[in-house]
Amino acid sequence: MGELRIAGHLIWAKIRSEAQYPASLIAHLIAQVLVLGLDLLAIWALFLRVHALGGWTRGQVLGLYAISGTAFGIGDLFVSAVERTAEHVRLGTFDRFLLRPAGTLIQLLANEFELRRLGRLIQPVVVLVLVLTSVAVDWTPAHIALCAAMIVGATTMYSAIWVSTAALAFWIPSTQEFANAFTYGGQYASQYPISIMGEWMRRILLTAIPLGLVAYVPGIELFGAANPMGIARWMSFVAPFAGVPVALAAGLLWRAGTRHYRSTGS
Amino acid sequence: MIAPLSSAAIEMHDLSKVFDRRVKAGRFRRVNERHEAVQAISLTVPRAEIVGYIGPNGAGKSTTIKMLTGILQPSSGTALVAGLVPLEERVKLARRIGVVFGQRSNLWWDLPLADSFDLLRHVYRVPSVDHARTLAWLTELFDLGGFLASPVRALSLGQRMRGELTSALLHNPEIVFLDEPTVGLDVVSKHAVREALRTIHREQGVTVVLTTHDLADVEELCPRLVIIDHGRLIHDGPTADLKVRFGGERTLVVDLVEAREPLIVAGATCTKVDGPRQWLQFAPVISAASVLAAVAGQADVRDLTVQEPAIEDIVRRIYQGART
Repeated sequence: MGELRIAGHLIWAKIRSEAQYPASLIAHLIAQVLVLGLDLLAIWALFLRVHALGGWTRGQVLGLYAISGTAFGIGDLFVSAVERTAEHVRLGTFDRFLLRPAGTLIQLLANEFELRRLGRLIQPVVVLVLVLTSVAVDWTPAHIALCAAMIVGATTMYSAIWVSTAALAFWIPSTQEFANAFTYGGQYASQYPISIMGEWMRRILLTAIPLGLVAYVPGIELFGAANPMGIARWMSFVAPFAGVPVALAAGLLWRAGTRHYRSTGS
Repeated sequence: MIAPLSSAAIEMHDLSKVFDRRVKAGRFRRVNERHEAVQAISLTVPRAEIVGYIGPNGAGKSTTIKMLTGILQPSSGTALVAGLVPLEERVKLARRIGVVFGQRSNLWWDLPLADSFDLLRHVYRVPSVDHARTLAWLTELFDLGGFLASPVRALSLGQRMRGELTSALLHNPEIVFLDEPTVGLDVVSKHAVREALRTIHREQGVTVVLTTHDLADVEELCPRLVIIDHGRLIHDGPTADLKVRFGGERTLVVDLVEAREPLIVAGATCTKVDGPRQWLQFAPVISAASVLAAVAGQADVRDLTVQEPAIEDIVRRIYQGART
């Protein structure tokens, strides 16, 4: 908790320094909302041609899109800055985090916080509110909890993928493109029902990079959507917790990375 | 101040750091090259001492400091700083040491200097009463009052460095590591920084390890001087002894009444003749008076000066000696 308070103070400081350039901030926010609007347009256009995608209706696909997008937006806002690790390792500025009495990861994230990343979160949240109030979701307490678990689970999963790929920078200097394939690529893949994808892609999204477990699988239950893969109902409730082991693994990888940094220097 | 756990602030025993680097050896081949950055350095720094830690570029100064501050893991040997093993007890150690790397900033670029200090208070979890007291003291000492409200990016180099030093001292560390704290500063700022460091040392009893290229820093601040080169310790002793020990030759410059051939004086060599003026170099064990007496026996002296060796020359000689 103490660490989170420190992070809070650091983030607030970053917001104040960013607020010194308000025009830049606003321009970034607007640009991101517009760019993400294209995603929405793509889904809209798709459903002018087809009536269902993997058995899912337009409302259900938009619901999945919004949950996945919200989780990605939260992760982007608070954790994606971890990709700056490579830069800190190269310039030796990572030392500063080791010299202060707080965790290195939390310091790095707080120090690189940028309010303009909020732009990625605005649109999915708006869509989420609209969809969840209009699509037929049976709002039982279990489903409310499930919806929350999906957002938390997917956020955890995205964050873990960001941290893991960024941690590779401790060994390999330039991993940015490689990392993007997992983060942005993963996000794109988890917006749609995975039943429409090829067998091998489905396998990846359910095991190696289990984004399907935190979005699609619980989504079946939440939206009462089609289940062509025949996934058991209990799986929908358990799957969001897949974020936990992935996050633990990411934490271990980060620790191994900092250890490597401390034995080799920069 | 925290009660001493061990008598020494810093203890190093055979501290070494080896880097393995992949180096090109032909078009495709890479070989591992061992670089021994720090080689078996043993050193003890008692509490409340100021020690100058110098050496040419690449000598291993920064690597040593990094091992002592918990950034780098030693390859072998041990280090205890404030009674702690730096890497194993990083967070605990971080609260008890202060570090300034002259080339890197500890401050938040876009924020007023005062805000950086406030953030550090939270990071180090210093109670606000203690923080206010220390900050007031340091503000006066480093004369920060005029620019506490300015963003760090707008500060001059001298102002920023005073800010950096304050940032490293705000949590009342027992030991401070200063890496090039006067680099790039003008003479006045350098003087101000040295004066402030002297005051802090006197009033707080902090231990200071100072790495610098400016030997005037060492002469003014550090009673003890440690020199390393190629990762090895090549000198450790009182700064004042340096001139005696390393044959810092002095020079007697005499203006004779009339020009003449080079004087021949036992224990001294005539290095230069310019009209009636002659330069006689002599070893530190020989007194200037005896050389002068010998000269006076041979010629009439109108005027004279004794030139002390510059500490730079002595240190350069030590480096060269260690290399050959």
